[in-house]
Amino acid sequence: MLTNKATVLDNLPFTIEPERVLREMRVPRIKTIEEIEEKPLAESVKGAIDKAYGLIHGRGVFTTFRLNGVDGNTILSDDAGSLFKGANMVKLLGGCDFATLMAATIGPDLENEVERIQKAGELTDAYALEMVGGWMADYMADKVDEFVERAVEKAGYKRTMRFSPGYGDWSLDNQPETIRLSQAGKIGITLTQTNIMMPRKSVSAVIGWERMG
Amino acid sequence: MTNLLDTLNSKIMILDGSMGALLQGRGLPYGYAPDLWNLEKPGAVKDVHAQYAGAGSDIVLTNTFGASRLRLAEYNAQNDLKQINRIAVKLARQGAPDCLVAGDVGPLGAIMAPTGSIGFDEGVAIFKEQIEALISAGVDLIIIETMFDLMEIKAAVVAANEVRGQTPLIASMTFSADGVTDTGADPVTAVSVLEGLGVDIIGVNCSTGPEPMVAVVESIAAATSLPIAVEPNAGLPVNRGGVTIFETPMEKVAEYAIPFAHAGANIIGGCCGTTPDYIRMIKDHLKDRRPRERKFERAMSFTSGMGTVQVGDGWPFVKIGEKINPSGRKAFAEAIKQGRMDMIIADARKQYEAGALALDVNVGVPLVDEAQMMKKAVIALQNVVPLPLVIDSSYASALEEGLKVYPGRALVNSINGEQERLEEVAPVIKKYGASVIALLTGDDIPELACDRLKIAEKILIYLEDHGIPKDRVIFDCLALVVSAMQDGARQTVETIREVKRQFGCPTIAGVSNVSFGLPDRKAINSAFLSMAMGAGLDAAIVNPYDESINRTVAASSLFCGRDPQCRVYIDMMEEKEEADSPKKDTGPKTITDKIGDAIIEGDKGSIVSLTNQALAEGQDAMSLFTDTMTPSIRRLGNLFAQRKKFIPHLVAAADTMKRGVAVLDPILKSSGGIKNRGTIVFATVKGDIHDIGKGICVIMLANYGFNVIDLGKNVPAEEIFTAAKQNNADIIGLSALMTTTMMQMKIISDEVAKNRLPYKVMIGGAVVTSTFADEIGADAYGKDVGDVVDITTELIEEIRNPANKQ
Repeated sequence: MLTNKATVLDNLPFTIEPERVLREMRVPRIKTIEEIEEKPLAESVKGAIDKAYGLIHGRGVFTTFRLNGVDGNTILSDDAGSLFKGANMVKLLGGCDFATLMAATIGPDLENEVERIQKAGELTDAYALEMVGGWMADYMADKVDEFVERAVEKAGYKRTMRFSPGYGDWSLDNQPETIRLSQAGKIGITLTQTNIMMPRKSVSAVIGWERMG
Repeated sequence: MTNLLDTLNSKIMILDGSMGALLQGRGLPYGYAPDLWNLEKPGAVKDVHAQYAGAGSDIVLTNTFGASRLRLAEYNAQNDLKQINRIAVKLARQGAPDCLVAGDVGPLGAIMAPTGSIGFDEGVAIFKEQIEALISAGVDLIIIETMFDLMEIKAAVVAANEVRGQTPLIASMTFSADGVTDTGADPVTAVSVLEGLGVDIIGVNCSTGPEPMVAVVESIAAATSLPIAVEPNAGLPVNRGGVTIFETPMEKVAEYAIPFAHAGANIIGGCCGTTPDYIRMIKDHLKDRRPRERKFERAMSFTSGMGTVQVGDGWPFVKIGEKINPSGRKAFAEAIKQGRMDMIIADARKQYEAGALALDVNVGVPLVDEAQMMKKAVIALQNVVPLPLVIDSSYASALEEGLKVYPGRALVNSINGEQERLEEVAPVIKKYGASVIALLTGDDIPELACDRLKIAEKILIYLEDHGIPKDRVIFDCLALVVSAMQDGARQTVETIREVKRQFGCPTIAGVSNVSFGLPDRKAINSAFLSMAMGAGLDAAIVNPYDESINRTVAASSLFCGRDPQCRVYIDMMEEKEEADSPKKDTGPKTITDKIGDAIIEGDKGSIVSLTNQALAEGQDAMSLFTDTMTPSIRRLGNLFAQRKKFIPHLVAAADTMKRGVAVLDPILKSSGGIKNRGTIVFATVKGDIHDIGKGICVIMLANYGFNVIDLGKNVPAEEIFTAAKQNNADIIGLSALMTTTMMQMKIISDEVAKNRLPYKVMIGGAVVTSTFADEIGADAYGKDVGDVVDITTELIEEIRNPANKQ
């Protein structure tokens, strides 16, 4: 497989599933908008979903690196340096020959619209749109993940779970290197000084290529 | 071509198996390009061909799977492309002199636009370069294989068609275990697209191993009369010790040869991991078996990248949404002028949800580059709806740009009997394998059915002469405006009946215009549609939001054999009944009850008028605030605590109450205002730009009578302290959503403690925990917006009555 070369994905098709949006809003049990008893709230959620279709532009990028073994708490990689370090990372990538760094985003339009309507005092609509965006960033990450998974399986490996900077002992300090090596800049992702991804509705992560048996 | 295709009628032919695995057995390093061995180790390549010939292969594939410019460039061998492909053909001929030689073409190794970066024309050029080299070296056929993206195989077939002449073409796709390609195309859709492009044989290869491929072959066989090729892997790949191997034994693979034959395969071979021994055993199993005879009546179809719409007798009536069209829609036209896709996307979603089976796309606005706009619209629409598109333009250039970025078999709207239009559009339809609407006009609009039928005949002859068979044509029989051409409108119904009878082609009509200039247009449209369906109309371009049209289609379908067991009609009516069922009447309500309900239900659209009404009825503003609104929001808070209502309900209620309070505010202020329950300076900390959760907290607190100063996001500590001092704050409220920014909370908390400042500190946000709050010495922590009112109330109580602190 190709290593160190970014694969850029654009125009990722998407469907906004109301059930997942409601889950993002932490509403349990309800699966459809029709099940929301309060009609005005149902209209806000539906309105946010409809609007989001015109605001989301799904893009992704992934880059694969060869791994060269384990040294204590660090996964060795000639090309990725010491990015993969910590007990969680050794557990994740210890049995892997490769690791893919990936990033996905829904673009800036949705969050700009959230800010605009929040400023205009439309709190419910802003909240609903923000929640749609939250779920859809994960959705786009899942879409990119599918491309990575296919590449992993075609090479005869098992993929590991997806793991992101800021979780477990892989601190958010690793975000700049993750963004640089995955080449997330190619899909318009940048970082603030405090390592917040811009657009905010973006996801970065690593997936390992685990040897079988 | 005839020889091969004739042979396939009487004999199942045997392909070869894997090339790469056998070359690795002869020393090819793992990860090295097998294609380069055509030049470097030609003897090894020739020997593999000889082994497959010896094992019984009728057709061998050249060692050129990766011999396209992009793939060879990975080894800096792109300049040797012609030689690599030419020598490959020679080696196959020498190694297997009695076999047919198929020039093998694999994927580009890069993703095609609009998902990837390789544009359609670029993809065609890359494929064409390789296929041209193979054809000029004298291959007997071309096989394009292991394709998982319709866009890519479309580019490859278009390239092959430009150079192959009469050389037969197999186009083979890879399907995953769930029976669809990696980009989501089902076998029927793949067949429709590949048939449209004029391939000779449809294949399925690689994939998951033989077992799941049987169902795919069955689906393909049910959708086409073309021969079918199958090349299964020896199972799924497994990486062992850095080498990818395939572990399904030959007995297991070979035993599927008979099921493949039963399913309808005409050519059977092997893909990754198979060897001459596998092929020998497959041949032994088949024992010169004849292919299954397949009777097939083909319906006209068009597709998206994932699904197919069949058109004709016995198929569901096809409602095509008409709304993506700037005619008579000023705002829509303006959006197109500005290059905006939001209105197009909104209309697409709405029509999809209203039950349209396909969408007409017309972006023709004066002074707009229609070709580029069509391309943009087709890309945008595919991202948000799974429906097939009808690409509608007066300009062939716009049709072509739309077709270039469309992976499915589109329906082109339209051609007509004008010679110039036929000459301009037919080559585009042919090249991209589209289906087409043929409008029965010529140089004028014929009134009589017999004149329209003459045009239909002219169009069919022209198209068939130019390689476009009649099963790709649907006739628009001209729905004329009945108020202007009453007899002409009647002739339309007759034309529909005769087109179907004489030519066996499906029919379509635009419905909305027939009623132009008359009252109660919906009744006229429905009447026409019902009569036309009775005459055999198969599809219509309609307004899918029009309930009368939807009911007419559903009801008329019952009489036209388009709704077996009346299932669709019954389901539609059940859904409608449910939607129309009246809500339980809870009796008359007072205005204050209504205000309370509006807050609990988050009815921000009604609260202002209800509050004004209450004031007009003489209700006291303070009483409305304290005795109606506050108890309502409190009641919702209790329901939240009981997990009967959730955060969205709190947000909607807070938003609603805020609007009601805004109505009361001037009156309350003039009478001394709401009693301040405490002052909170609220901010998202420095470095953090997440604002909405904090914004919700601010409004909830304000609704409860707290004085809240919202400093916004990314606020430095100094600014927070300045605001706290200026406003004589009781509490500093802080929000952070990142581990990198939450430490700002500690800085502020430390500062308060160090300087004994008179503020309580409360914190919250996605990454913040109660443990963290304790560690930094914060006075309170809220896990979500549902906590904020309670913890603020408690903190204020501590401040006002420190002795009561537990």
